[in-house]
Parts: sequence; structure tokens; C-alpha cells
Amino acid sequence: MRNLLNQIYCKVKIFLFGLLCISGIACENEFDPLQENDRYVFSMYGAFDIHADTNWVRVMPIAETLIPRDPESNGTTVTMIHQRTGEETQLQPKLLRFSGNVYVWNYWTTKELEPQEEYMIRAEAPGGNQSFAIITIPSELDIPDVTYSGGNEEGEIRGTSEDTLVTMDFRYFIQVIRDRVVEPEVEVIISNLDDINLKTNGDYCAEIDNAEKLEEILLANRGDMIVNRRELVVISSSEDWPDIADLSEEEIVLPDAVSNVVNGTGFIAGIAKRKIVITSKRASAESAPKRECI
Amino acid sequence: MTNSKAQGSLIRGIVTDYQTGKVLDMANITLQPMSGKGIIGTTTDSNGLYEFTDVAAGDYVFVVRYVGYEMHIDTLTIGLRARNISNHVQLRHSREELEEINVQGAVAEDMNPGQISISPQTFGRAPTPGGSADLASYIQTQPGVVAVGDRGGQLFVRGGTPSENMMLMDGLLIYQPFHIIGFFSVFPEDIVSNVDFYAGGFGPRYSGRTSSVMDVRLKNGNLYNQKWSASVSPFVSDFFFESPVREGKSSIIGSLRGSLIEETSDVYLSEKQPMKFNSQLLKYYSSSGEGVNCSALIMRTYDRGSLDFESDDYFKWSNIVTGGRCAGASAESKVSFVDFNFGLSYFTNEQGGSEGGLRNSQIFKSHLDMNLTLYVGEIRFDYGFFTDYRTMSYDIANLFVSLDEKAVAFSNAGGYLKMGVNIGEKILIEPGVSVTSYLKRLSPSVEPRLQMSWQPRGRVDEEIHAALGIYRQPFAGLTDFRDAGTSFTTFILLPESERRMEARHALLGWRQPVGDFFDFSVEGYFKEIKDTPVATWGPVARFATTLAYADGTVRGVDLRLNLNYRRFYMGLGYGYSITEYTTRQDHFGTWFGEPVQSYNPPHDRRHQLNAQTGFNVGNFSTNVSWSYGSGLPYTRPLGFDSFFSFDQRPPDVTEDYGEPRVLLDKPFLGRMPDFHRLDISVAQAFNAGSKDIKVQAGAINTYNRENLFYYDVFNQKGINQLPLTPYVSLKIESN
Repeated sequence: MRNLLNQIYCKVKIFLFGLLCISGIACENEFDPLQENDRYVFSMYGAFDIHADTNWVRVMPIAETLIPRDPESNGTTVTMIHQRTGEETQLQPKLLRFSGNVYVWNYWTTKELEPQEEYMIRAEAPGGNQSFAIITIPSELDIPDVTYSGGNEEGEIRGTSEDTLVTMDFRYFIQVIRDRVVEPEVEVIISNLDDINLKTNGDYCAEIDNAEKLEEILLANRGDMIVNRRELVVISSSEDWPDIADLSEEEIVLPDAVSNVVNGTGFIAGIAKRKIVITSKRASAESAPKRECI
Repeated sequence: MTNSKAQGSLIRGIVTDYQTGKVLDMANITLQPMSGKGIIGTTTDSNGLYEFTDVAAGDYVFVVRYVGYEMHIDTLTIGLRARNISNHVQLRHSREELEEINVQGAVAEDMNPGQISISPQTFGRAPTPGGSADLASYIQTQPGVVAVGDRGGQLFVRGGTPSENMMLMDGLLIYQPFHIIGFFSVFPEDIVSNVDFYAGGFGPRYSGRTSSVMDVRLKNGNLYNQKWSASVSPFVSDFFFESPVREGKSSIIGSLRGSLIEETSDVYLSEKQPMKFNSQLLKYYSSSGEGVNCSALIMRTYDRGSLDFESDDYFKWSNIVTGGRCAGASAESKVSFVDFNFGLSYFTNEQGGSEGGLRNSQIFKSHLDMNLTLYVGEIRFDYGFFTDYRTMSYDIANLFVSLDEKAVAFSNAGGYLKMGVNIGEKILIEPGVSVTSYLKRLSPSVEPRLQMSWQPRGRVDEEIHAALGIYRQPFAGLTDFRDAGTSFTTFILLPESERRMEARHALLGWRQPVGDFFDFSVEGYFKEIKDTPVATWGPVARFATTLAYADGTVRGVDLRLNLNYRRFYMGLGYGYSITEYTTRQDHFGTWFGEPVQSYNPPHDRRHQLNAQTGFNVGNFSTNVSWSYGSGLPYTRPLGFDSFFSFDQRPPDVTEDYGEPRVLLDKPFLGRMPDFHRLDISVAQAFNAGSKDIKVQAGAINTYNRENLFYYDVFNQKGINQLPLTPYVSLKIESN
């Protein structure tokens, strides 16, 4: 009896739909929420550092969901090709897991890079679709001279770079004392890139005065801060480094506004990075005679 | 409305329903001399007002006719000395004709361009899963009215956004009369007397909105008898009562409604419907019997629920409306009719959930207005004055990051004038203007409007009409339509004081009866819109956005066909509309190579078709309603990635995930699937002594179509509307 009723129901439904379809307005239409993507194959982000032991790049196929949650291998092959010699190095995959079961693939290599040389970073899907970026590795970057006073967070950095300086960050690892309670350590990064004075011969100099900046960020007096560690990071890059100074916040996030990846999204840069831990020895240079930073 | 034959007296009055004091518009009134020929006649206007001027001395037979009511016959003796005579008339229902009227809707309306007059008897043509039919279900079947789904309570009229609609209840503003469950509003059939819905081209009496006006007149309580009703269904329960306070002089009505679907859906539907609403209304009405009546009301509403049942996001809103109205006519006055309103309206809404923090927004308005009607010769003047005071405040957790001012108060005062100039007996031209001053906060607004109609054979239901007008709105209701599944609205004054939302309406229509049972109407419209606030476009799934502005056009046509044959009716409504926005945003040059982009906003429903049919035999009735809507625009992505900025340092891909980003050509290029749904109801009424019992059974979405409510681009998740939902309702009322 129930089967009979079901059959009748189906027939009525088909009849109704038939009528509607004849009228040409109510036929079922396929709903494909995504537009066909023949523009982007991979998303590739990273920076290849001439001074690093290991270099990493994030390579992910353009996804069909906002958050990637699939830990299975996508079969991507990532290769670094030395453009002058044609030497190919295959990067090794590593699955990275973030909280909330979010999975991404990074690729790494320990291959030594040569300065002022071009490399192609190429990602290839199992079907043969490729994205790639060509990067130029900058010259080696000398370790800068640093004089620094830990008490008032003032100092001076001097050095020479054949390439454009793109980063000058002070990283502070600080505990704040508030209401007689020592809070957990936090990391504060202050960019002193705008404080750099550059000479035409590649020499540069920067005067550092970060006490007020720290007070603004942490909403605490300098006297209420315990600085456990200070690091200076200086990075130079070749001319490939993206110039985003004139771009608005809305423009920076556009996939084609800042990208050197062909058939994909993202940016890969060649860099030379130096990280200096500001030790007590360096910090003790308070009494060193001060030179004009021009 | 007026008729003059000789130098003489003036006769003026208001025609009302004897039981309730409801004004009866389009009542036919004749004055026939007892000796000699020369019968003169007129009809009442929307206030129930009629007027004869310069009536010669003599004895007359005074007759008032109105379909469904007993004919009123009286004799009038007009003396030689000219004087002004008040002659108010109360008509009694005619039992014999009542049933026929309920089916046919009966009285031909003298309507303005863009206007639809809706009587509560027709609400039931759109099946509602409750004991009482509801305006919300019915209005969504009208061409030009777009609801994005069966929940949320947001209506878009002819391309306008929800905050551009003016909703009036006995002259009092109510900001959000539609409940979170789309079938219900604060207007069940039990409490509504009549609804005038203006989809565009409305006159200067209504100012401060750029899209539409819904002017609802509530019922007055019965002046002689107590009545009550109670109903229950899986969706809603309600209780209604009306009672005289002083017999024949004053009355009271009360209405209480509360949703049940949250409780019943757990056991009754496959998916829990976490939505709740309730509303309470109390209205007092008093009639002097001398043509003056006053009323006062208070209403409170509450809605709370989630539109995406799987997320933690919830929406909550509440209205409180109170105020009073006095209206009347006296032959002693030069002014034919005076209507005085005072009201307070408060609306608060809130959005909360796991992401983005709590947002809330409030708006309060107090208003005082006076509307007058005056005849100078053959020209009718409708004019009035108004003053408002508004406060708006919000805390939107940086949803629109450029909005700094968290609270604002402003006042405005103004007036309007509309002239009704008859050219011959068939053409009526009604120029008008509305002028509003914002007391230095904003620049004054002058809004000229023009309505014209031609009745080629002098019949009010056979008409070609046109309207033009400029409409401005001092504040905007911001809704983040990047996410269709939202009901949260923030009311603001636009941050740039030189900007003002504006619309220019032009429409041309034709209404035509064919034979005794069939009629059709067609109305084409064009709107230019300016400075509509929209969210800035971007590819990153950010909670916060900035404000941009869009100009645009809306063009379309609404077609209605109606067949009313005895106890059977059939109606077909078709709406075709194109809404196109144009927006200039700073980053478009980088994105598209062009600084200005055009697009169809997410409420651009291109085709809309509604078919309704039903019949009423004895105590049995049935209603069938089928609705179709073409797909609404949504953002169709190419894919997704995570984005890193190279701002002052390279990314650390070993530590950071990046910022999720949607890759797209342009927002709103995709179209969601078409929507269609069949709703059916059958009802049987029984008499059980002093009570009438009505049992209704029906189904929403009878063929269980998977209609998409909205598509969450960022989470790649579709949220469907109600599946096949059968219901049974029971209503008991005193007779």
C-alpha cells in the first residue's frame, strides 16, 4: 500500500514538474558554486635565503574550500631549477598542521644558493598543470655593526648592502609587570626600516630609539618591562622584492596585484637575511663614542 | 468627491461601519431632489469623507450605498439660507451579501499610481502555516516584492533595500514588522482593516523613504459586541479579542502571538528550527459620533533566531511602538478633514555568535504630524506638517571600520502639499511637493512629485496612470549583504554629509477590467538610485569592511491578472526587474583596470511569478499558491588560497597559515538556483453553538523542492529553505 502511494506521489510529482518544464521556467538547473578556474593552478609563497641552511616554500593547489582540511598528499612536485646551469633540485614535502585540523604543504631544500643567480621554483600537479616563479638571489649580506643600550632601547646599526634593504626588525621578548604581577612573555616586533639612512656606495646606518614605541604597543612604562631577549633581523633582496608602498590595504590583497607566480597566486622572493642576537656584550657598547648617522 | 449644482449649502460627513467605526472608502452617495430632476452623486475618499458643495434649497433623498452593507436612506431639508451641514453616516452590515464579498473582494478601489490596496480577506490566498492568514505571506506573492528566503524578515521592493521601505501602522512607524520566520508579521488578518501598499511613485504625504510604503490600518474593536479568537498550529499560537469599552462609543482590541516552531520542530521536522518570535498589541478606539474619532495603541515585538542553523550566529530584534491618532470632519470648518498623529517608535537589533563579537544597533523616532484636506472650488488640496526627532546608536564591532560616530541625534521638520486638479471628468493631475528641513544637520530637501491618471470611461477601476517623483532618505540602514544570511541592520547618518540616499521614480500603468469577473493591471517602472551604501569589495574573508557607495538603476514591469468568479478565484502575478548598481572604489583600477564597476546586487531577482487559486464552498475552502523566482546573484569564486603580505618582511611559512582569501573575477557574478515552491491549504469551518471552529490542513513546499536560502561562499555551504512541511491548525472564535 505504501509502495503504491509512493508511486502515485512520484508520478504526480513528475507530472507537475513536466508541466513546469514545458512552461520553460522551472526545470532543475545544476548549481556549481565555483566558477571554472583556468587561471590559477597553485598558490606559492616563500623566500629563498642565501644564508639559510634550509629554505621553505608554501605550495598549495588552488582550493575549492576556504580552509584546507585534507591531510592527504596532493601529489604536487616542486622543483628548483638553477636557470644558468639547468640543474634541478626537487624539494621535499612536509605536511604542516594548524589548529582546527587545517593542513598545508610546505616544501624544503638544503641546496646551497648562489648569489646574483636566477632560480625557477616550479610546482607541477599530477596532471601536468604548472605554476612557477623566477627569482633572483641577492648578494651576501654582511653582518652589521650594532651598538645598543638596553636601558633606554637606543642604538645604532651600521653596515653595507649591495642590494635593497627590505627588513630591519627588532624583536623583543618581553614580560610586563602590571599590578605587581609579571605577565607571560610576549614577542614585539618593531620595524626600523624607515630609520635607515642609505649612502650611494651601499653603506647604511640607522639610529634606533624604540623605548616609546614599546611603551605604546604594550601600554606600559619602560621601567615595568623585563626584556628577556632582543634580536635584530636585517634582510636585503634583489630588485624582485614587491614594491607595495603605494598600494592600499585593499589593493595589497588582490591576487594579481602582488605576484610573481605565473599560472598561480603568491610571491616568492630571493633574500639575504641576517639575524643578530643583541647580547650583553653588544648591549654594553653604551659608552662607545657616538658617530653621526648620516 | 465634490459636486456643485447651485449656490447653496455645504453637506459634509464621514461614512463608517456601524459596528467598528471603520471608515468606508468608495461608498456611493446620491442626493436626489424630491421635486424635479438633477440627481447629484459622489463617493467617499480613503478617509470615508464626502462633501457636497453649493447644494440648492429643497428637500432631498440622501442615499448611501456600499457593497456588503445595508443601504442608508434619509431625507434632508436644505433651507433657503446657505449653511454648512454635518451628516455622518454609519452603515450596518448586510448579512445576505457578506459571503459573496468575502470571495470577490468586491469594492472597486480608486487607487494611486504604484498602489495596491489589500484587504485582509485576501491574505489567505497565500497559505500561512498558522491559524490566521498573515500579510507577510501574502505580500511576498506580489510582483516586485522580493524576499531572499523564508526566514530573516527582509523584503526588497522594486530594487530598493529593506531599510528604504516605510512601514506604517495607523500612521505610526514600525521599523521591522516582519518576523524572523518569513510567513509571519505583526499583521495577522484578525487585526488588519486595510493595507495600502505603494511599490513606488507615492505622493508627498510620505517622505523620508526612497523605495516603498506600506500603510496598514488596524481594525477598530467592535463597539457593541465582545468577540475573541484563539488559534494554534505547529508554527504559531495567537489570541485575539475585541470588546466595547463604552457601548457604541469606544472599544478595545488586543492581540497576542507567539511562535512554537522552535519547540515543535524538534519532533516534527527533520531539522530543528531555532527561531522564536512574539508580539503583543493593544488598541483603544473612541468615536464621538460627530465625525471625530481617536485611537491609541501600543505594540511590542520580539524576534530571535539563527538563519544558518549550523552556526552559532544569532539575530535578535525588538520593536516598541506607541502613539495616537485623531481624525475627523466638521461642516463648521473650512478644512474638510483633519488627521493628527503622534507616535514613538523604537527598534533595536543585535547580532552575536562565535565570530566577530556582539553587534547591536538602535533607532528611536518620535513624530508629530498633521494632515489636512481642503477644497477650493473643484481643486482638492491635501497638505500637512510634520516634525520628527530621531536618535541612532550602534556598536558594530568594526563591521564597517570607517564609521566613527557611535551615536547621533537629529531633528527634522517640514511640510507637504498635493493638489488634485480634475481636467474634465476623466483626467486627474496631482502635482505635489514635500519639503524637509534638518535644522543644519543636513541640507534641506525639496522633493517634487507628480501623479496623473486618466479614466477613459469614468470608471475608477479602468485607468491609465503615471507618476514621477524625487525621494530622499536622511539615514541609511546598513546591512552587510556580502553575507546574504544576515538580518542585522545598522542605522546611520551617512558619514559624508554631502551624500544622501536618493531615488527618482517614474512609472506608467494600466488597470483594466474585462467583463464582470476578470481584470488585469500592468505597470512599468524606472528608478534612478544614488548613494546607496554598500560594503567595499575585497577578496579576503575579513569580518570588517569599509563603506562604499553605489548609484544605479532599477527597471521593470509588474503584471497582474485576476479572475473572481463567484466562489472561485485565480490570480497570476509576474514581475520582471533589472537592478544594476555602479560603484567606484579606489582599488578597482588595480583590480579591474577600470575605476568604476557595474553589477547586479544580491537582491536582483530577474523573473518572479506567482500563481494563486482557490474556492470557497459553504464552510469549506482551499487555497493553492505557487511561487517562482529566478536565481539571485551571489559571489562565485574561482577558488581559495591563503595570502601573505610582504609588507616590510617576508612571510614565515613554517609558522604562519596566512590569511584566507577568495579568488574571484568580480563579486555577484554567479546566480543561485531558481526558487519555486507550492503551498496548499484546505480549511473546514464548523459551528459549535456559540463558537466557530476552523480546522486547516496544509503543506509548505509541497513537492519538497530544495530551495537554497543562501550560499556561504567562504565556507562553501548552502543553507536550504524549509523542506516539505505539513501542518494542521485549529482556530476557535466566538460568533
